Amino acid sequence: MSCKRKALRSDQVLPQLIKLEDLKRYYASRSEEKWFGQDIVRAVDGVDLTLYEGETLGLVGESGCGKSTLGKLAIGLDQPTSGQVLYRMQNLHGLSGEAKHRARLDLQMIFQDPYSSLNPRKRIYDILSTPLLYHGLVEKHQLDQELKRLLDLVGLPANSVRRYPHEFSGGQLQRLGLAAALSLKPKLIVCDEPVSALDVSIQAQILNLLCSLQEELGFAYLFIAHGLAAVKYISDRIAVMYLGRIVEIAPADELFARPLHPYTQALIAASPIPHPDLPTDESKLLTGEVPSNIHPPQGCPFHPRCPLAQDSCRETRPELESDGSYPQFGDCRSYRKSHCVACPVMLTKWHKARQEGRPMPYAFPGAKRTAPDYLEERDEN
Amino acid sequence: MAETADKACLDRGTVPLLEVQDLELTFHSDFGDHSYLQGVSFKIYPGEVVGLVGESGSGKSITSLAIMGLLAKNGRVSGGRILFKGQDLTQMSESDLDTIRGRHISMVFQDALTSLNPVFTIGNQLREAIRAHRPLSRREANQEAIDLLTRVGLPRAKSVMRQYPHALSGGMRQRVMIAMAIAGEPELMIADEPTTALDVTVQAQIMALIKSLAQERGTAILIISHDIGLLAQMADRILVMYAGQLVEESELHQLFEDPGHPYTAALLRSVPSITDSSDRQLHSIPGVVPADYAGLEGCRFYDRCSFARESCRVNRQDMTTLPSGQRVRCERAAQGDFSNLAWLGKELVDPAGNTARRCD
Repeated sequence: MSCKRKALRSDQVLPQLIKLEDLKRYYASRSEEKWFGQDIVRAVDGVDLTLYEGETLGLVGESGCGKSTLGKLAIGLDQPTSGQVLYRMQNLHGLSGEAKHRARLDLQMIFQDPYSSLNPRKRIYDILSTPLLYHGLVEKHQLDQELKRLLDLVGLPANSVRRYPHEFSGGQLQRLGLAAALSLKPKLIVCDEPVSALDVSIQAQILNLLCSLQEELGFAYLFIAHGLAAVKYISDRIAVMYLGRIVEIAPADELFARPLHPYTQALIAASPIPHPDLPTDESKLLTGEVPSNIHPPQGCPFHPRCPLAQDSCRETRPELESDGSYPQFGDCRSYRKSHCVACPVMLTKWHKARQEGRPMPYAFPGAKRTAPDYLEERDEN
Repeated sequence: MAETADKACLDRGTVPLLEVQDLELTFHSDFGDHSYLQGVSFKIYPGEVVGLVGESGSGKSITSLAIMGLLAKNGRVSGGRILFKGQDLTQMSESDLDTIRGRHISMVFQDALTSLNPVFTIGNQLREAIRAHRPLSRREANQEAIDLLTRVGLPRAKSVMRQYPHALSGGMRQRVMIAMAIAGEPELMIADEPTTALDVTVQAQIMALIKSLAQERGTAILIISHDIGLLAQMADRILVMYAGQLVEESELHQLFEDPGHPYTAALLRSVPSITDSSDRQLHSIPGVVPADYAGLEGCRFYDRCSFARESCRVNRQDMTTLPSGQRVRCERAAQGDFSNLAWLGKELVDPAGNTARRCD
């Protein structure tokens, strides 16, 4: 029993659903330093990413790293400044007519605050039926039956249709948001922090619901969150973002067993683990805060906070490169199982340690806590 | 961690710093009086870190507000006592309370932005807090404020003093709140969800700060959170609240190894962890917290409990001390029905052999 379906954990080749190519989104904001003039906020600054059909891709990072913007760009809710979004090999923003219409239906989103994403003046009946009728997905006489089926899918009673959003709890509203997204039979649902505002026990309900729906209906998720535990639970692959860039991407288990980027390690080291024997090591935590993405640091954006930073990190901005586990796949972005990281310094250290049979190096030792057999090894020493 | 736990145990011989006895709160509304808490009793000893965990609506924040005497106008303590070093806070006048609030008991709130006044500088507000508790001149208070900001790890304290709250990030604002809370050198600090709105890296920094302050000065801490994982990192002892009642009180390790109350066990199983193996299934507690629980006679967790039997619904459940030292509000736990259920709080290793219904 697990959230991750067996089919996806094998080497099975999946068709590409969304491909982001050197995607950038800059916003203009009023300058903080000058009365007149504008600053450029680099929310997403050169992202290459492929999302395959039926998989769950987790996206993590601190607030302000651009993960929500990336989610919106991926489904065409926002226009990229440069680069392109390919939906089934076609440029999403170049589509027109029937194809554009179809893409809009296929790409759906659910939000962190389910209350503000449902119209408070409409009954659930209207909220759910409007898109169905507008897109001509059901005949009028089948509508009641379809609504009942949708509500049943997300575990709500059929009489919910008569009620208003304010009559539901947070968890129920999140189920309604999901029902609205599902009604259009999407191929991808972008979930932007869907469980952050919910209580722990309700979080588990929603996470399990997301899993079972995916198993049944086979769509893909782009799951955006800042809590690593929920992301690990639901994702097949995880991408870590920092200041508008992806710094590491790997299959979920692999990322936690062998985090390579110092920033990924810092995130893991800072995450509380519900186990009294695995405390966070307070002396070795990431210090400071995310720098402004108006004037991002030169070179590697993480270098001012990185304990491994060298001169080269301050000069050149590292690109994502494969850790070499699957040398037959040259471009690391094209293979789902490959582990890619934008930190040549750490990558070199790991390769060296592995060749010499030494223990793997960590920039933040707290990240060792998710390594396999960590507790056993610690107890032996 | 182990050292602080030992210290807390040794201190048990001494008088508790704070003792809450059978606390009951009543709120008045147009539809009549509603009582919220029922039989909430616990003690906090000097230098101890106590965690209070529960879902939203379980009554954890209102408990802390009652201790601070900060209930809304329509609320009052309608039963029980809150003893701080032997003095009953519920019987005190507002002016007597002012000598304790902030000075001996201080509080860090969840949302630092709304807790700071947007039209005054940080320095202004911090100086005010200091001078309210200690007879210092403006100049001395200013120096003290800078020292405090430095102590809570804010770089360039002097320039922060001149800034307004909006110019600081969430993490920095929470540090200012903590500086303000320790300004009176309190013996007890209550932190109500101090890191909920913060990123995980900043959360870890703030938690480390609170813990180090507690260790340096021996301040007792009551930390309130819905995240039991966070409490596992720092608390010596954990109180679990559900629907206005305390349902379990355990030492930290005891709670994780062998939770006494079915709710605690279910809660532990519904928390995802980054150390989980990929085949772990999250257990979700069916249903929701009852909205109106004041009228419920028996166990308030009855509807959602896998172990409930008819008598649980009818009988009043009382806090009982188990042989292990845990206090639990569950008649089945008290009768020892769950002695074979230590697995509940652990990884769900063997769901087939130990399903929840097994003990029925």
